[in-house]
Amino acid sequence: MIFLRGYRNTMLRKILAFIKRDFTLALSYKFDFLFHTGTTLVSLLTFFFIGKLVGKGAEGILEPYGGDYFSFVIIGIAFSNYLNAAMGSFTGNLRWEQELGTLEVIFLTPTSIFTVLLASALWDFIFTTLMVFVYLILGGFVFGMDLSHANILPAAVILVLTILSFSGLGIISAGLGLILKEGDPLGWFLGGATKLFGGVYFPVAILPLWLKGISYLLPLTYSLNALRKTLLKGAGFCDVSQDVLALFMFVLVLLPLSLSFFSYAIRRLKREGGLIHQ
Amino acid sequence: MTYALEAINLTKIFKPGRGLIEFLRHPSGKEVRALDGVSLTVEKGKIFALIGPNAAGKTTLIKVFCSLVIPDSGRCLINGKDISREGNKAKAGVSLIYGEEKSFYWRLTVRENLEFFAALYGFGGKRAKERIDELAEILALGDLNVRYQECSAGIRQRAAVARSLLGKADIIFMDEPFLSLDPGATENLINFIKNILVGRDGKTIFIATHMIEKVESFANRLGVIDKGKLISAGSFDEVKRAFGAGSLDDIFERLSKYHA
Repeated sequence: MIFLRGYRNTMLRKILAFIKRDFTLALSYKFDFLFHTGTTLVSLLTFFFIGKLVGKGAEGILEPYGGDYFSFVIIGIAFSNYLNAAMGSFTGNLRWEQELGTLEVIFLTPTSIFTVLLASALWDFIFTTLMVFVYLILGGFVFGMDLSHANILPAAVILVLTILSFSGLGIISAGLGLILKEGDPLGWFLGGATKLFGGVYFPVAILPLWLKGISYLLPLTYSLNALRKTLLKGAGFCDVSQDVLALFMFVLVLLPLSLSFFSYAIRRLKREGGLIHQ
Repeated sequence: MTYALEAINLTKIFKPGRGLIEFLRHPSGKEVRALDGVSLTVEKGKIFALIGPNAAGKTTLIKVFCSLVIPDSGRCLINGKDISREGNKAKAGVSLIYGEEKSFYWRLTVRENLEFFAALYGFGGKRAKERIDELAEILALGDLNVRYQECSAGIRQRAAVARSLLGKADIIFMDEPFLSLDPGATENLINFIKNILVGRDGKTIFIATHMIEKVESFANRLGVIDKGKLISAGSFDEVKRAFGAGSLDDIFERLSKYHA
């Protein structure tokens, strides 16, 4: 038990070291947070006026989510940021370390590949959470988004499943990025396709049947559907059980698959001598 | 006898791959025999210098010892531990320093960088601070609160040495460590290696270098590698005899002529 406690403390210290490093680096770019907040405000304003344009015309199709387009789209944009974080952070951070030459040095320390992988993405998820709060606070207090019915506990569980399933995709993308050293094809595809088919800007229900098939293959579809219902309509676990089950299945399949693929990518790089970007 | 380092018939060929992935990665199309049946031993507490022309296989050999490259065949032992079977235990005993050291976070201070790597070696807080301060004093790192990007090449190299000493490594690999250093800084690093790392702490040093004019002043043994083959290894006299050469310059000249 003492050994385990020691292992846990060391592991925690390493994870905290990554978060502290990334926080300090983020602070060194002083205007980054302001820039992000500014972008968020512009996005909110844009969709506030589009919401006015759409008006009551979309109430019927948006009825399961409360009927208001602005609230619908802001939840979509805010939480799809977790997908951006997952697709960007695992791939981006590892390639950054690879190009900097620190990846080899880190691998020489007694730190497991998976600790490096997960810890180096944590700050991005923390920052994304901060930006989601900015979206929700500005949306609620400035633009009148109604979150008074929000059911926080199921929303939090869905958020955890969302982050885990997106992380699975992000880790696969990171492994592919390390092997290819030529950008991030999976990230590019999922970044674009998911926003189109995952229901960020419009409900999946308006898509023709053959395109709906693509939507149902994406975790974002289930995640946004459930988050909107819990945050805007106060839905409980029973109301979103199908979405929760689908997300759980994504986590169950994607996480082990992604970790195995990532191990393979590292072994391949070690065979090729490519841990440093050449 | 347990050696600090032992390579047994190591072979590594970097092959151009086939298939979609290789097509996407702009394959070079050339097969490179980076290591070709390399066998050598390095005793504990000694300085072993490996010399050879560019692309001779020096860096690949170091990376194989550090578990950063997987060899195609052969065995590699660190303090008697086979890296293919006891990789983590073997890895704990080694650290690596590159020439023109850039593998730091440029927007963090030297202290922040060293604290981060100390945490990855498993210690932090007061213990890390004390160890970093101690290393800063020995290595004359100066002000640790300066961003890495503002440090001179000499300080960067010393910061890399400090990082390599944070863990429990008793074998330190140095790949062209004098590359970006001026003569004064080079002399300081050589003295530090000889007097502190080896003389006081009994560490084993494996240096790959082009600086043949300096190598005789600090290394105990020498290896000459070319095109992945270890042509000769032993004491300086043994290696010179093997080449029938009067000096290390003669050996390098012969290798250059051979390549030309």
